[in-house]
Amino acid sequence: MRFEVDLHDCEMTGGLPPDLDGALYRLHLDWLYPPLFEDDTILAADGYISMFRLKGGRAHYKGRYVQTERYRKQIEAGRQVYGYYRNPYTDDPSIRDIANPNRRTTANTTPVILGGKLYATKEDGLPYEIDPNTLATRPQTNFGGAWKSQTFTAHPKVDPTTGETFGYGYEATGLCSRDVFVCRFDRAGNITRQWRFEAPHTSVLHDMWLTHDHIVIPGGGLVTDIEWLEAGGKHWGWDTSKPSWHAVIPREGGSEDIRYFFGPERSIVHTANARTEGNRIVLEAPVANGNTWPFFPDTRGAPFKAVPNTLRRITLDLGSRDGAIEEQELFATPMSSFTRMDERFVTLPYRYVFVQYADSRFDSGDVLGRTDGNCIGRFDVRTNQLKPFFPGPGRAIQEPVFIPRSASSAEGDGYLLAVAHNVLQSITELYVIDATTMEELARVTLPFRSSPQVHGTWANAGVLPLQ
Amino acid sequence: MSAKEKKLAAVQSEIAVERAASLGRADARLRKALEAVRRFDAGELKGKKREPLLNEASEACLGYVVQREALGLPASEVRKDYGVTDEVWNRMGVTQPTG
Repeated sequence: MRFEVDLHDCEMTGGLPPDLDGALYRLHLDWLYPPLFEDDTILAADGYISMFRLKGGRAHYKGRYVQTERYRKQIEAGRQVYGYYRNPYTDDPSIRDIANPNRRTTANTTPVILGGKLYATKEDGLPYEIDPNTLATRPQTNFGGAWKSQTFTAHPKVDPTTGETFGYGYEATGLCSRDVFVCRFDRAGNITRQWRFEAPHTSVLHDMWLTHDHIVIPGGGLVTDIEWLEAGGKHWGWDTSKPSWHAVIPREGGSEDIRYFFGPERSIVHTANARTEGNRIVLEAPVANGNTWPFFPDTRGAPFKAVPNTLRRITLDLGSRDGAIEEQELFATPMSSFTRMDERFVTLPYRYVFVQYADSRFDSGDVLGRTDGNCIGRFDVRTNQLKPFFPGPGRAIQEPVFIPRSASSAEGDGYLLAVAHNVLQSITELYVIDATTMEELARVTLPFRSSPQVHGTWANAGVLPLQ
Repeated sequence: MSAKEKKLAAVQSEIAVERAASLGRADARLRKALEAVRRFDAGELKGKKREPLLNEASEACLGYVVQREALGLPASEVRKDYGVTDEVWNRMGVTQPTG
């Protein structure tokens, strides 16, 4: 998109719920300059943060680049100087720093709220703090010097019953390292506990699960090799011979108490919810039987063959000596991995998973691919029922965010905010959806097509010091 | 039963009939699409291309699975019941270019 924007009092149809007072922050992928390599992944695009400020029935929009070191170096050079995703060996010599690959981060993945501050995060570096009103970029943080990993996840988890946040960093000590650092924050954002372990093999560790008793981090078929990087290749490749694994960290234990459970070839990118039930850990997530990343090649040269994600339940038996894993498919409907839930129920029994998926019963027109994500679905894991929201033809809809109607409302009683590209008119639309009926309440229109969103986060006024 | 309850029951009955009919249509479409792939592979459909037949079969399968799950019916046995091949199943929900 390459432009920054302030849009006061956006056009709207329908009416915003009067009790909605807060901001929807989203991180986008927005190349400042085109990539050096045509076959590079869009995951390497520069971070861009936007905000829909909803208040008093009106919506205001703002968008800014995250002014990372990488952004500033490109501005200084007047051109692209960074090479392949997570391969500093392919960078222009003027900025190359092999020992500190985290300096290359684009901070383009998830807006994270931690200790009353807003951060732009990406798993290959440390978070940048963002001013929640102006979206100006503040310095990177290592959480007061307490965090020694070079990286920090874009998917920390908050335990709603304690207010604690759990996060981690992988490739924590440099390129291709197996080191994983894990930490716990108190409500104020101070690190109060840390664990460290070595992954069975270095893999993408994009998301985690949290239960009342355990932290679980899944790894899988994506692998790396420093020799690939030195030779100027891509960071990740898919190895069909590698097992999936789950690192289980007891919240009250030490690093020596970590256990691994190994399973068949699987891809798990984002997680839904989890719980510990006696000697069993129950994990739910979209899971695929192979590589879901078309831009990361098979290590043996096999052509990419897409496999669908479906919502599954994985059960780890803590009582078994051999680390037994069971897997059950909850829904056969293919879905994206962009899974959200009512986050007041993280670690607790729950019913609803909200996710972008393709529903061929709705006619998306001939402007989208046959089965681009055209719907948001509410998947009820208790009754096995799917309830769709279809925004209309020509809309490619993105990951939703759930907002409870009130702090005490029942699970799933609230609103979904989801942004769609209206491909027919080349504009952007924010849908405000009643999460119970899955009906549209309001639609906010931006008169341009925004760059692709990765994840969004809602902040009620009061959670952040919003103006 | 009050007049209001009678009206509601009539509407609910109509919705149930429509849901069943939708599932029936999805079932017929899936059977037809899978049969077309089978016939092509048996050399019976001259002049057709396999790729569009596979796409139609996977889209029909997706429509059937989604319809079942919208009704709260499990779809875990669909592959076995209909003899859906891995090739068709793995295309469900995968973007294909149009036009």
